Amino acid sequence: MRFLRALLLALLVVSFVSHAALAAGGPMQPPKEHDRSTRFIEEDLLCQCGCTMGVAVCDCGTAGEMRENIARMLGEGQTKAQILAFYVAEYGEKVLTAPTKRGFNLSAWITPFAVLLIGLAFLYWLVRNWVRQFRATVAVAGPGEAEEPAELSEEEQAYSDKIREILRRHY
Amino acid sequence: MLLQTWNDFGLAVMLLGLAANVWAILALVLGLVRSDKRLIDSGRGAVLALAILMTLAISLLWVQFMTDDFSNEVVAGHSSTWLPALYKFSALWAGNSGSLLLWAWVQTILIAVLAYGRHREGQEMMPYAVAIMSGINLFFMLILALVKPPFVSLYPVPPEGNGLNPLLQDPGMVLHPTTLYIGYVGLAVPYAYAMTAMILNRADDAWIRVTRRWTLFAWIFLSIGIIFGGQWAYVVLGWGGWWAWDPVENASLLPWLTATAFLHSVMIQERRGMLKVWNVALVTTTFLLTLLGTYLTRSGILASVHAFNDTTLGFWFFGFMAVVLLISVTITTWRSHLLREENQFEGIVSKESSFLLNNLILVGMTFTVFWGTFFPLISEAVRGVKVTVGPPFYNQVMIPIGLALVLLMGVCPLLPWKKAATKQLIQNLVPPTGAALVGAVLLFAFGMRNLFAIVGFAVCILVVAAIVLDYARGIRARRKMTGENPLTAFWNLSNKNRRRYGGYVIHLAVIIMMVGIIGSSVYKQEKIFTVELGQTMSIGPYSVTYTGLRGRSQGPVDEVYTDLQVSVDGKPLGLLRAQKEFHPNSKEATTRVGILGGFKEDLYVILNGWESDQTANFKLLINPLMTYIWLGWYLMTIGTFFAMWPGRHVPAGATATTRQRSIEAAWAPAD
Repeated sequence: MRFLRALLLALLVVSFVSHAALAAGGPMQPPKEHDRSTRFIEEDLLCQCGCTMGVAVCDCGTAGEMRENIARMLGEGQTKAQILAFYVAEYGEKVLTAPTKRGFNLSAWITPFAVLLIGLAFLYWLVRNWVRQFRATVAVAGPGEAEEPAELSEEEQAYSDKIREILRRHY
Repeated sequence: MLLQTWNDFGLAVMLLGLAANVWAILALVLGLVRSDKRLIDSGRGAVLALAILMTLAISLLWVQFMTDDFSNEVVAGHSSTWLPALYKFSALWAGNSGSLLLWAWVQTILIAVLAYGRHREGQEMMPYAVAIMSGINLFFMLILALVKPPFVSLYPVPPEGNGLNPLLQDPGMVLHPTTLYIGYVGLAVPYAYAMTAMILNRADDAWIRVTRRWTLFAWIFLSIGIIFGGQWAYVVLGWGGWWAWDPVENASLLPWLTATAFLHSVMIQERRGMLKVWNVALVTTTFLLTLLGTYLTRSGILASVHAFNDTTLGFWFFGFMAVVLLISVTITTWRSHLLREENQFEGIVSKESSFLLNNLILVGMTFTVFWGTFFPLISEAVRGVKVTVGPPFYNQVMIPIGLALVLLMGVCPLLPWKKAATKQLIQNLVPPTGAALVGAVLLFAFGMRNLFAIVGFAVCILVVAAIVLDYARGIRARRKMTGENPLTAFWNLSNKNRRRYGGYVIHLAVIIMMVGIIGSSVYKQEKIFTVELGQTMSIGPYSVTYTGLRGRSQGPVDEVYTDLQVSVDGKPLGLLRAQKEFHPNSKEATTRVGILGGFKEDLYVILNGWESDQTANFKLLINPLMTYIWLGWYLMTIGTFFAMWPGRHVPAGATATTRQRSIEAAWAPAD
């Protein structure tokens, strides 16, 4: 902690000096911009520092090293698949941010859509049956008896007629 | 003397609370079995006593936190003398004991409100529901008594506490757990009433009407809790996003999704007397998922940045979930005759079927999140290989399903109840679909090339157009009938059917959030720079000049920060501070990002690190339309409270004029 405080004090001093330098400053060189062309690979890899975040977003040293390695391997001409395979060999499949689309892992991707499709088919079958039941009821009871209308007072009937008239004209 | 310390006193209060809880259940159950009003009243009294005792217990713990009473293990474990007062207050729920005490306290207050609140209907259901809720609370009281007691004495008393996890030292963490817990606890109310309806052999929808506002109340608090968590992640975790599909984040989303499905499906039961079994299943699943969320957060079975990691607690929660499931299935099976229904639909295409489709998609989304969350465990069990299921999986699977749901949100209001005539359907669908297509073409013409963004924004336009169209028709019809001016007609139309139009406001809020989500995910820009003093970094229209690092100490916390000069096209916008904090109780430095927010975009700056020569490394991001995510959330809250607001109650036997008003309110067909 003492070391840290000393470091902070040093930073404070340097910052005053630096502000003076800035005030007197001349034209500046552009800063070093890091190559982010590796991001498309970083997004598929999990940082191994234990933070549970992706390499693309984690700012720890481990993620930094992985980013540098990816850039180096890309520079050596390796493909994305080769780089990912390297990391899988190194850390196991858990280094990938999503399961592969092969073998058992494929079930991770397919199951949600399969469940939805089965659900959709079941829903269609259910609704179609309910519509058939309704039609059967209407056929037996006659259209007027399928639903008993509520008894309305004269005042309510007039009001209801007005509403129906508006609905007829505008809907 | 028996009670020598505040901890002894706290323990005594908790034990009295446990006794009150047990008596509440016994008195209520016996009272109901024997139809003894005195016993039922005694049970209600015990519930009130329990709420008072738990308020006393949590107040005592808060006092211990605020006064740095490190004789309490919980205080010593999560607080310190130098912690700001706000975080001493919120440190109470930083650990398992305190957070479970908070949960139990919120729950007991809610049970007392239920027991003593004014009930327009369903009064006879109240004692049963209170007994069930008390049974749920007993589980938490037992955990607090046996597994994670909040009042444990430490000897010798340490002079200083361990301090609070630096990541939790943020206003977001003051609000996120409390709102989330209110949501979780609130969802137990509809569950308790559903079980009550089964026990009472009641097949009607009274339990749904009684709990409608409770469900909405719980749902909005769960929504607020989720968004507060997202805001906290955006500001504190410093990775530039707000949702990472982490297992614990997913755990809060699961009950939210099923609760949303429930809010929609109850309308079918209320209107058509259908889906009884489905609604009971949904509400039971929702309650179980709130427990699952707690289990995931506390058991540590899945790797997460948010987890408490306590296998003992995990075991208890797992057991409780199994008991709740068993009891619920038993009761539902016992009363299955109530749920048998003669369902009839007049047409395949109708508002009813769109609600069913809505439920299918929401439950499908729940399954997807559940499946993705647990797939690592499944893979390990089946293949013995650990895998990770992270954002790429959810983005690829959830986005198409989510878009289908939003599309349905646009189509549903245009469909009539019972049966849609083809001509009417086309008439209703053409204007919004046309607006969506024109919107898509315009977006393309103005240079948008990302297919997901074009489709996403077009769907958003369709939904907004559908809502506007429905509103316009309602206002026009109302003006014809009453001669009101457009503004009055708009207000009266909304006010007389708050549920429907509150729902539309919520739908609009979802669309505003969608716009934010699409913009911030598709058009995010990111650059990383290593800069020397005085150098300027550029991203989008922004120029960010590095002015050097500074250091300062806030108590034992050391901060290294930089005030960056930000300008757009040479026009200075001001200073933006990005910093790292070094807390004595953490090995890792904590990031405090600099955010310059606006309606168009957020400039998001992370100070990654530095060298001794003041060279520093920064990550700069532009997150477009982020503000719309938070704006949508505000609107969603407003819409929910509007929908919840009590309307005029029309009792049976009311005068003709009152009934006329109620017909008037209902004539714009309620959703």
